[in-house]
Amino acid sequence: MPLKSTDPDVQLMLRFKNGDEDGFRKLFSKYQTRIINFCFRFCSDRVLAEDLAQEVFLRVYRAANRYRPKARFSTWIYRIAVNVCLNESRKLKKRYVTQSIDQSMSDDQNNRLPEYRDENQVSADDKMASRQRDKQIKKALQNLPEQQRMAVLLRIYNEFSYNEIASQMSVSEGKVKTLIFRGRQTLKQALQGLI
Amino acid sequence: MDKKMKKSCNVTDLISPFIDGELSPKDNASVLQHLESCAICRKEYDALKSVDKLLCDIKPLEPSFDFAREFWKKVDTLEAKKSRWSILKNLSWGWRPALGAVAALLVIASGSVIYYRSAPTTLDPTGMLIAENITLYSDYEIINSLELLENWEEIITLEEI
Ligand SMILES: [Zn+2]
Repeated sequence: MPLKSTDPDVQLMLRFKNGDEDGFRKLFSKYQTRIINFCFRFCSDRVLAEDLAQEVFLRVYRAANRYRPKARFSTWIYRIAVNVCLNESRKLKKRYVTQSIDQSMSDDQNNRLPEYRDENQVSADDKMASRQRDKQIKKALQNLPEQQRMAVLLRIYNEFSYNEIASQMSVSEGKVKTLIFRGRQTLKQALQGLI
Repeated sequence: MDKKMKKSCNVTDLISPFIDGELSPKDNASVLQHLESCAICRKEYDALKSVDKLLCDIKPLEPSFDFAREFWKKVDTLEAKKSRWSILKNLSWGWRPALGAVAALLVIASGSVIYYRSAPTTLDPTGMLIAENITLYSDYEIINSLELLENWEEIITLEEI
């Protein structure tokens, strides 16, 4: 049964579904920075992050006719973002595995994305300590296995509940709890000097 | 056992879901009370809160100046494709029975052109339009099915939210 939602963003999406493009424009403007940052924190590449974010909005745009509100709009759009990011990661991993078919890889490396180009790498090196710190944090995040990273991002930056994250990532709530717990433990170790 | 000598505590694993407000009211209350007396869990709590804070302190990116423009360009491309396809789709519904015949005619016609280069082929303009776009039409059907597949998991899960 469709949800009788009081979520204003759901109302905007329904307006768009009924032909009012302004509804979509408002959602785009409200969510663009958040979705770009979500993708950027996941992949650490600004250009790629913006491409992925555009893909997320294109999917929202294309899904309008079929849209039936069953959850908060933000839960829905982040679910799309999770899919887009994980698909991209799979594609990149496939390419990476093909390229390094003769190289031996540790289990740990198998769980990670290939190293992305870090846009801020050069500037961060010759800037202040706070930039160094940011770099260290981004690296720690990047080194998390992708499912842990995804769960941590959805929780810490976007404050979704475990239940919402479970639906966004298509895993159980118990798994979300474990992913976030392990992610935090790894980050705690990696950022020990900053805590 | 002396508390100062204690190196681990079985409540520590609950600190992460406690911070996230994901414990039952009963567990939440007991962790809260436990924190007052357990230095190990307090240390864990402070450390995890610091991790969260460090992550949140990173300044977010602003969208590039052309982010929105690039996006709307992609929408325009999508709309252009959609309108081409819908014209074709509307046409093809009326013409579906004739579609195969036109295709066959086209094959025969091109065959004839190859064998008897002199003979010009005459087709009515609508037939020609369908014939010219027959590949596009099958692409459209394939793409439509792919979109459905691509979104299938999304649709199913959203039903359950
Ligand atoms: Zn304790």
